[in-house]
Amino acid sequence: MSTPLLEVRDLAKHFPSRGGQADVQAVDGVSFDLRAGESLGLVGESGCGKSTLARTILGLEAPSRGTVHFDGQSLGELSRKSWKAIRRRMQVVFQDPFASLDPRQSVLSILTEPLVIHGLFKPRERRLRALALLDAVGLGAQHLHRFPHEFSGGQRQRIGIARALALEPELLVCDEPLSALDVSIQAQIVNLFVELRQRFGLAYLFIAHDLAVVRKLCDRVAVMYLGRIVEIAESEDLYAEPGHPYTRALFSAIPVPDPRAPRPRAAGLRGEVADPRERPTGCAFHPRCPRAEEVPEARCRREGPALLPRRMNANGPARTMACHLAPAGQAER
Amino acid sequence: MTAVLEVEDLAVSFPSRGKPVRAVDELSLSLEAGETLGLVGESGSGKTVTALAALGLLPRSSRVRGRILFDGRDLLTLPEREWRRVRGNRISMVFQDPMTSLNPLLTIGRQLEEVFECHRSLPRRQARTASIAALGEVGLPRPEARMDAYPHELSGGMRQRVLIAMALACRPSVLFADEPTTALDVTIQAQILDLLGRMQRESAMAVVLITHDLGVVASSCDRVHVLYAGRSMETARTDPLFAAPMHPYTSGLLRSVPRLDDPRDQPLPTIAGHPAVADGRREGCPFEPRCPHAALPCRTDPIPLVALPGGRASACSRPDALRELEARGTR
Repeated sequence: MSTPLLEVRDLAKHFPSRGGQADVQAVDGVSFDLRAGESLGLVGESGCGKSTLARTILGLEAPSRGTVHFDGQSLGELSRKSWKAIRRRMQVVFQDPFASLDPRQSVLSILTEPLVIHGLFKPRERRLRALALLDAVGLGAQHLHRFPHEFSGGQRQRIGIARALALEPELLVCDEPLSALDVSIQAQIVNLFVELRQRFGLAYLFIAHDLAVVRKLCDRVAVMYLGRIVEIAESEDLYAEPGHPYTRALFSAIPVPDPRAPRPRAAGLRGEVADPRERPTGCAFHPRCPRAEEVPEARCRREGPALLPRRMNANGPARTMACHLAPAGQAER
Repeated sequence: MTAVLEVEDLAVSFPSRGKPVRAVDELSLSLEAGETLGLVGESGSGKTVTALAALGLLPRSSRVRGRILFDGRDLLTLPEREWRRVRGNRISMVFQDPMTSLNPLLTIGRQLEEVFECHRSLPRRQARTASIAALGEVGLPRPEARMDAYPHELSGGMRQRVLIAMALACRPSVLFADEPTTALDVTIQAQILDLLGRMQRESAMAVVLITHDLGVVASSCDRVHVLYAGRSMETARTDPLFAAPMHPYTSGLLRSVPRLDDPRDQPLPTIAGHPAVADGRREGCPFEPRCPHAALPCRTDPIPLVALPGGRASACSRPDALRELEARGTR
């Protein structure tokens, strides 16, 4: 097999707390691979560490532990100069299109700045490149000399995407790029992400909390809870039948836009998401898990389950998940 | 059924450098005891302004016309002193952001006791007992211990429970819930919507649920009012609205929401363009620039809500558009 584009191994990011409290373990031992051209969704509730994971992969935070390899190169050992070369290949789209564009820069300047920094194209060709980028995201030449405040939220997000595409990256890390947009605009941007991926062969690490959007955009999905991946599966399998009790709870809590559908349920889920400073012992999900009591000898409380291929029941789906309910090693793949 | 709250021809505008901005225009709605009415629309559609008008919380600079009838009185004519007896007592509101709508310097117990002291004239000790009971009702674990907690010591879901406890403390007849779960995670959202539904059934309170989430509307509302750029586009009971929207905007909105069961490899249907700004333009339909059915008269003709069979109403008067929508259903 060829080297994955992105190889994340046991990655952790802990933030120190003040006043002698325990560290915040925002990300705590995450491993996954992302192949070139593949789209991986990262879902989970606020505070589960998905954004911190993205920032650590991008090198915006220094990892507390673990490694990230991009196309075989370990990012932890890179010099500044090599980082610059990697950044060309790995770009980011942020959540808030109102905060992630400089209000004093025109669209032309926003789109050509990455080209200037990386010394790409002759100065007179950069304008043409900017026009091509605008065209790729559904904007036009008439927008080139305008400023961010003249655009709606959806248009700004298009500009943010065009900027990320300027350097022809292989990987786009998208951190909740839809959640600040209105419903009617979200659909436009979802379609744009689908189209761009087909056109440029991009790989996505796509962070979102809307599971229906992730299904549209991603080949595989990783579900995070309190800093760890609890389940990772092909989209088709995950959406056909979620495996991990937390994934199941997440799915059943989503309100469906159809009054005939069953009402969203808290699905026996107790209490609130735990504070990452007070990570529960064993499986972090056990205090809320509706099935923790089925596992004998309070194992869920004592021992953290490893993320392994498992089968939930005899006929159930084979999944890579972290749960004591399912014995390890019974899955075919 | 009699309406507990009636809004008639409400218009709210704000002064701006150019023409005044009309945030809400010609909005009429009525609310019956015990029902949940969804106010649906995108940012800038006038949902929150409508709620603020019904609570007398609009800034002084705003200009308000129309009537809001409650208990045989027009709320828009109430002096501020009278307002204080109604607001938080007979009509309450739960705000979107549980992080910023509590006072960070006071314990949640103190903030809750104030409600009972102001509206029920309870002495401090009784107010404390009533507050502990109110916290217990909204499912806050260990309510007595939580009384002395400050807002920052609680999670978002717990803060929203506290706000709901405050809003419901006096058993209001009408509750405006403005995106009460938007800042919360889905598993917590389900718990909070359950809680609101339970509290409502116990007291026959009417709820106006303001949201942009059509999933929340489908699962929680009896009737829906769809707003666009401050105007009513369509109103109907929830089931028929989702089964066959009778306005091109509602139809476009419903079709553009990704679902867990739609074909993965097809692009999502979209609404072209971007949301209208309430810019003071008065003529014609505000949705006209984005509407696939738009024709010349849509730019100039007035768009009153016209009654349709089945107790619903639509502001779209293009007969061909309505026929097509009726034939198509949602998808």
